[in-house]
Amino acid sequence: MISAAGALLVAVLLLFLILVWVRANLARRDELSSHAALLAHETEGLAVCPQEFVSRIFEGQDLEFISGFESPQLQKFFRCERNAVALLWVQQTTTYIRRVMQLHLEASRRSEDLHVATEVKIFAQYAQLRFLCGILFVSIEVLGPQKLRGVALYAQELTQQLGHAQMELDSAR
Amino acid sequence: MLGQVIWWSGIALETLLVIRGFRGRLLARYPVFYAYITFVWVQSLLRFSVYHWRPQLYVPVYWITQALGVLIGCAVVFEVYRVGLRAYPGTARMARNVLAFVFVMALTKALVNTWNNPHWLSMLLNVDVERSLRVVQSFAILALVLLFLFYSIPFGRNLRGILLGYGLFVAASVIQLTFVTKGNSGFNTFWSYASPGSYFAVLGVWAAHLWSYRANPEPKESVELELQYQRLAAATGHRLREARGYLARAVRP
Repeated sequence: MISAAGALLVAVLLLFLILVWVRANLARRDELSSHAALLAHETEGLAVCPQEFVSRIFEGQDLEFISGFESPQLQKFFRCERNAVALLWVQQTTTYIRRVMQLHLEASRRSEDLHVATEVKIFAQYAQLRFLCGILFVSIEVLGPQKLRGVALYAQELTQQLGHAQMELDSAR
Repeated sequence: MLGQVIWWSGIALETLLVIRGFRGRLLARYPVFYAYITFVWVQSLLRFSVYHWRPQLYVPVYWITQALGVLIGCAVVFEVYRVGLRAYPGTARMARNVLAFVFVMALTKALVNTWNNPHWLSMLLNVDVERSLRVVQSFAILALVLLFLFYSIPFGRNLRGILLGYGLFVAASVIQLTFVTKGNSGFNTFWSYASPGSYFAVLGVWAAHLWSYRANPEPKESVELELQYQRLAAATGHRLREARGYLARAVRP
């Protein structure tokens, strides 16, 4: 038997989710006809940032070089600029993976030979990436990009994997 | 008095729904849903008659019709899945797996309870059993709605109304049955008005959404072809950029 609190929680969750779904459904109604073409158009120009760029943005060598000038103002300016670049990368990566996932869902919802295990794996990878991007977004300001190089490179690798997996699946369909 | 007014208005709305469904040829498109509405309509009149002329039979008639209502309700959820995902075989396969998972989990829990205490089912009140079934239904609807949201499945006005109304009804039932089992008399008095009131609102949602036939939006083939072409072009562009990057590194090490 499910507890009273559990049952109430399920009921409230159901009410909430149904209202969210109705809102989303109504919002999508108008943009339905142009949605797919627009999505493809938006994705065309998007590309994942090369590994070397990411490695450079998050490595500590540049900061060491700037520190050599012993100018606190220059250091502050550098940190500010580097944080902005790192945040921009996080933002671009988030947009990229979101678009990749949207494209994947567009394709997989009509696929006749969908593999549930593959879908679950892709979704887990996507969720992990979104989580990492969230962590990076919050931590960059606090810790600075130099201390987050490992996480950023891991996120970059996962992003490339996700992009490739999506392309492979698409070409196989 | 107010309860009676709401109750009779509900019967009138159910009649209107069936008439509109018949005139708008919605019956053939959503047969299970209209079978459910017809069942509820017959059930209301039957209960009313039994209550007035054979009150000693009211309790068994109530629970038998209630159990049948829950079962036909499950079929309504299945109809939403069948009609809504007809054009989306990929999402339909996911939905089948998710629903199977939900039902296996519910069955496992029931089996574990039976294993621990073989008499647990006989110890439960009918209200507890109904609440458990409604909670399982809620999980099934939750799983379906999550998939619809996740895969951005567009729904037509009719089907959206059916799922919205039924989802609200199931959620209200779970809340009602939870507080009824708690035995709160104050709440029971409040709910004696709120329950038919909420069901009347659900009937209103159905009447508004099922006034006339509105087709479910079908995915456009031409858009799909265009999308596939754009995707192919994007993938080729991506691979070319990668190759260019390797070439640049090879030329300028």
